[in-house]
Amino acid sequence: MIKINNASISFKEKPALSNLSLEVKPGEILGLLGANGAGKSTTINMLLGFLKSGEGDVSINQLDCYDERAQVRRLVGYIPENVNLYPYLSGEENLDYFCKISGIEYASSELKNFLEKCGLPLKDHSKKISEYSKGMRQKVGIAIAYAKKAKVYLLDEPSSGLDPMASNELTILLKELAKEGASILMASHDIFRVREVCDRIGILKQGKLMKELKSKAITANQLEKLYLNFMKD
Amino acid sequence: MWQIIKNEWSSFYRDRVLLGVFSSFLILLSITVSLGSIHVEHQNTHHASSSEHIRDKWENIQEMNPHSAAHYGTYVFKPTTLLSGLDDGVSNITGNVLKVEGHVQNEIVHSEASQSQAVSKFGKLKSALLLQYIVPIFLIFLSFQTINGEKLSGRLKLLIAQGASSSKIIFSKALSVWVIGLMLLLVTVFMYLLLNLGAINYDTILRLSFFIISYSLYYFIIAFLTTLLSISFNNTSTALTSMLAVWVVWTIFLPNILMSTVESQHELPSRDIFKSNMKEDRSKGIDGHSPSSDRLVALREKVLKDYGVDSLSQLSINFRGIVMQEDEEYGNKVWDKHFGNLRTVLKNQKKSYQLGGIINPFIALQNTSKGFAASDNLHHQDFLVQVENYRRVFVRTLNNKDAYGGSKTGERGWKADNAFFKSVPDFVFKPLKIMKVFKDYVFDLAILIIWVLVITLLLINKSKRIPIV
Amino acid sequence: MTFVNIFLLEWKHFIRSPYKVIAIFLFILASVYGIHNSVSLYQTQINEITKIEERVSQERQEFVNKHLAENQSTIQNNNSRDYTSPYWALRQFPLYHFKKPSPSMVFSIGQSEQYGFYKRITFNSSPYDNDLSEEIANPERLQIGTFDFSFALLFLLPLVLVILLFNVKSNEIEQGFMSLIEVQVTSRNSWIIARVGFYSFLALLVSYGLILYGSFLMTSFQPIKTAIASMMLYTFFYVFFWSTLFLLIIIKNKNLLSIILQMSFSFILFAFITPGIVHQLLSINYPVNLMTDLIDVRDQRQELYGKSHDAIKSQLKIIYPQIENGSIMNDSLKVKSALSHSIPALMNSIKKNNIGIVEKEIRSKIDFVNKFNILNPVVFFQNKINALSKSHYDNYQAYRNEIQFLIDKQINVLIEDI
Repeated sequence: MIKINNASISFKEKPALSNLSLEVKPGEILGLLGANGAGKSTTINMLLGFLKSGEGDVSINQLDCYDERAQVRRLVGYIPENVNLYPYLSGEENLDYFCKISGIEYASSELKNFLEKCGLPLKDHSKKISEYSKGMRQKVGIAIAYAKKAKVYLLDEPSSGLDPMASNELTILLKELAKEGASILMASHDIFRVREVCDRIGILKQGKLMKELKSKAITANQLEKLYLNFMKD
Repeated sequence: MWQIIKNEWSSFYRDRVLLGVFSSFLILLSITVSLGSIHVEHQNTHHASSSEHIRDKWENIQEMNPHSAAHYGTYVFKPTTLLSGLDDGVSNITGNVLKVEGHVQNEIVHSEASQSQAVSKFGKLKSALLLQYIVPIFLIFLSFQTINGEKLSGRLKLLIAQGASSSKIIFSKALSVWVIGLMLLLVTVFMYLLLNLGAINYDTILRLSFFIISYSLYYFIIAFLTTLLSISFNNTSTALTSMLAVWVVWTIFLPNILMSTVESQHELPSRDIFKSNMKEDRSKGIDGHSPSSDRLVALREKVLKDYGVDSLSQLSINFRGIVMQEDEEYGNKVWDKHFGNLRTVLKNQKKSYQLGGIINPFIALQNTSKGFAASDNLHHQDFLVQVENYRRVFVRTLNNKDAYGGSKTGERGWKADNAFFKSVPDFVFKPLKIMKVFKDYVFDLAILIIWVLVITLLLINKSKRIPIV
Repeated sequence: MTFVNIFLLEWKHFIRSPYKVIAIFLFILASVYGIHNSVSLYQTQINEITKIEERVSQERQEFVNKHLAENQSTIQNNNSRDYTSPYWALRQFPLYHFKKPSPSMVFSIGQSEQYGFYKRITFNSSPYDNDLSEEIANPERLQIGTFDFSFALLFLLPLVLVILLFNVKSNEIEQGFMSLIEVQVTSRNSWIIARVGFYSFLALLVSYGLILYGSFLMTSFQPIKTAIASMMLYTFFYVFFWSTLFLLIIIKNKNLLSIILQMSFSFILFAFITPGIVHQLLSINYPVNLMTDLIDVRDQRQELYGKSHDAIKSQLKIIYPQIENGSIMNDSLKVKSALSHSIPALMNSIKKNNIGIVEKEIRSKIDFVNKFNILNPVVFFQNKINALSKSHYDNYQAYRNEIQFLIDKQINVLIEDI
C-alpha cells in the first residue's frame, strides 16, 4: 500500500511538491494527471527513494520510502516512460539479468511464462531488444516488475508513444495486476487512458493535489474539461 | 558561413567548461614554452662552460709533441639548439660527448637517457608533447558532437529551413574547431618568439613557419575527420570512441610498431661487427705506429725521392708526421665507408618510416615537427659529420706540425709550443639551414596535404548525403 | 550472491559489445608482438655474447700459443715484454665481462638499449670507457620507444580499461533505465563495483595469461619464477590503481561525456603530463652531464707520467701500504719498471674518485625522480618492471660495479707482483 501524507519537496527553494497526500490500496490503480513540471515524476522519484520529502511521511507497506529504501525497492516495480533496456540482449535475457541483479533466479521456462503473462508472444522472447517496438519493451519492463513479485507498481508516462493497440493491451495488463492485489500508481498526460485504467484520478498542479476523484464518477469529456480548468488558473 | 563560425565561437566562449579547458591549455602551453626555454638556457650555459673548460685545457698545453697531442685530443659536446625548446626530438637518446683524436673516428657517447632511470616514455613536457598528443584530443572532444548535437536538438533542421546548406554548416563547424587548435598553436609559437626574441634569425623564422604549417595541417585532419565520423555515426558516443580509438592507433600504437618493423627491414650491424669490419679494413692501410708494412716502405721511398735524399735522417722534415697523416687519410676512407653505410641504412629506415604517413598522418607530423625543430636524426647526423670534418682538420694540423714544424725524423722528444696549440682552431658548430634539408621533409608535408584533401573530399561527399531527419 | 551474479552476468554484456572484444583482442595482439620483440632482443644479445665469447676464447688460445711458446726466447733476447709477468699478461690477454640479459627481459626491454653489455677488461679500463657503448640503433626508433610487453601493459591496458568501463552506468543513464536498475539492485554502488570488478578481473586475467605466455617462450622458465610472481603482483596493483580511479570517476559522474573526458584526462595526466613535467624539471635541475670530471682524468695521467719514481712510490704507498715489503721494491734493477707499470693503479684510484662524483649526481637524479613517485604511478611501475627484468639503470650500474671490481682485481694482481 502506498501512503503519502503531507509530503513537500523543493528544488532550489522552488516547491516541486507541497503538502501532497494520497493513498493507493492493494488492488487499486491511482492515476496522476498533470502538466509538465506538475510534480508527477517527483512523486514517483520520492516513492522510489531517490528524493527525500522535506516534511510529512512517505511510505510503502509502512516502510519509509527514503530511510528504508532498500526494503521498499524489493516491493516496488518501476516502469519508466521509455523502457530501453540492453539492446544487445534478448527480451528473455534482459528479464533474466534484471531478476538476477535483484537476487532472484528463474528457470528459462519461468521467464518465458512471465513474458507471456505480460503479453509478449513466445516468438519474440529470443529477439534482441533493439528489434522491439516501444510497446514490446514496455511489456518486458512490466515482466521485470511482475517477476519480482512487486506489491507496488509505479509507472511513469506508460502510454506515451504507444499505438492504440499497445495502449489497450497495457490497460488490460494493469487491470489484471491490480486484480492480483497490486497497488499501482500511474503518472500520465493521457486523460482518456487514465480514466480507462485507473480507479481513482488525482490532478496535480505545481506540486499540489488539486483534486481527487473516482474515474467511474466522471465521463472522459467531463474529466478533460475539469483538467483544462485547473490548468488555466 | 562566417556567421555560423562566429556563432560557434560565441557558444564556445559561453561554455564555462570548454573555456576553462581552453584557458588551462593556454596556461599549460605557456608554462611548457617557458620551461622549454629555461631548459635550453641551462643546457647552453652548462655546454658553454664545459666547452670553455675543455678549450682552456687545450690552450693551456705549454708544450707537447703534436702527435701526443693528437692522442690527448679534445672533446666536442653536442649543443642544444634553440628550437629544441619546442621539440627536443632525439636529443634525450643521442650521446653528448664526442672525443676528437687521431687515428679514430669516435662515436658520440653519454646520452641523457643513460644518466638516469626511466623517466618519461613520451619525453619531456615540451610544447611538442602537448601539441602532438594532447591538443588533438581536445579538438576531438570539441568536434565529436557538433553536428550530432545540432541534429538531436533539432537545430540542424531549423538552420537548413533558414536556407543554410548542410555542407556549409558542417564545414563551418569543423573550421571553427580547427581555428581553436590553430590559436593554441599560434599562442605557443608567439610565446616562444617572445621569450627568445634576441636569438631569432631568418632560419628560425622559416623553421617556425614550417612548424606551424605542419601542425595546422594535422589539426585540420583531426577536426575534419572527427566531424566526418560524427556525421557518419548516429550515436555520439560511438563517434567519440571511434575517434579516440583512431587517436590511440595513430599516436601510440602505429609509430612504435612501424618503426620497429622498419628497423628489422633495414638492419643495422651490431657494434661488434661494425667495429671488426672497420678494424679489418683499417689494418690494410698504413699503421703509423708499426713501421714494417709494405705501404709504409713505399711511402718512405716516395718521400725520400721527393726530397732527393737517401735516408730518413737526411730529411729536413719529420717523416713520422707524414706517415701519421697518410695513416689518417686511409683511416678517413675507412670511416667514410663504414659510417657512410650506417647513414645509408638510417636514411633508408627513415624513408620507409615516412611511408607510414600514408596510413598515419601523425608519423608525418612527428617527422616534420622534430625536423623543423632541428632535433631529428638528420640534424644529429649533420652535427656528427661537422665534428668529423673538424677532427680531420684538427689532426691534419697536428700532423703537419709534427712533419713540418721543425723537428726531424726520429726526434721523439720534440715539442710544439703553447702558441701553436692556441692557434689550432676550436670546433664551431654551424646550425643546418632548413632550406638545405627541406627536400627531406617534402614527402611528409605532401602526405599531410593529401590527407587534408582526402578528408575534405570525404566530408563534402558525406555532408551532401547527411539525413536531416 | 547478487554481487556474484552481477559479476558473472557481465560476461554477456562484454561478449555482446564487439568494440570491447576488439579492444581486448588488439591488446592481446599488441602484447604478443611486444613479447616477441623482447624475446628477439634477448636472443640477439645472447647470440652476440656467445659470438664474442667464442672469438675471445680463440684469441686467448692464440695468445697462449704465440706468446708463451715464444716467451723463453723473447726473455733471452732481452725483450721487455715478458708475458709470464702479470703486467704484460694482463695487458695483452683478452678478458671480457658480459651482462647477460635475464630471461625476464621478456616483460620489459627497459633501458637495455641504452647501455652496452660486453666490455674488455684491462687494468687501464674504466666502466665509462667508450667500448661500453650501447648497440647501434636508430635514435628515432629509440625515441619513439620499443614496443614491449611493459609498454602494452602500462600504456595500452589503461586505454583498454577506458573502453571496457566508460559506459558502465552512463549507458543506462543515457538509455534512460538507470532508475529501473536502481529499483532492482539493493545498492547502486555495489552493482557498479561488481561490473567494474568484472572488467578489472578480465584485464588482469588476460595480462596474467600474457605473462605466462611470455614466460613459456623463454626456455629457462625456472630461474625467472620470482620475476613472474613479482610481475603478476605489479600487474595486480597497476590494474587495481586504474580500476579504482575509473570506478571513482564512474560513481561521481552521471553522463557519458564527463566520464570519458575524466578517464581520458587521467590517462593523459599520468601517462604524458606528470612524467613529462618530472622529466623536464629533472633536466632543468640537472643538465645533461658532459662528463668533464671523467675527461679531466687524462691531465692527471699526463702528470703522473711526468713524476719521479719516488713520487709515484710514495703515492702508491698511501693506497697500497703492503708494497713497502714487496720483493721488487728492494730490487734496484726491477723497481723502476715496476713503478712505471704501477701507474694504472694510481690512475684507477683517480678514475674511481671522479666516477664517484658522476655516479653521485646520477643517484641524486634518480632520487629526484623517485620523489614524485606518488604523483607519477606509471613511471613508478615502469621502473619496478624494468628492475625485475634486470633492465633498470641500477642493473647496469651493478654491471659497471662488477667491471670495476674486475679492474681492481687486476690492479691488485699487479700490485701483489711488486
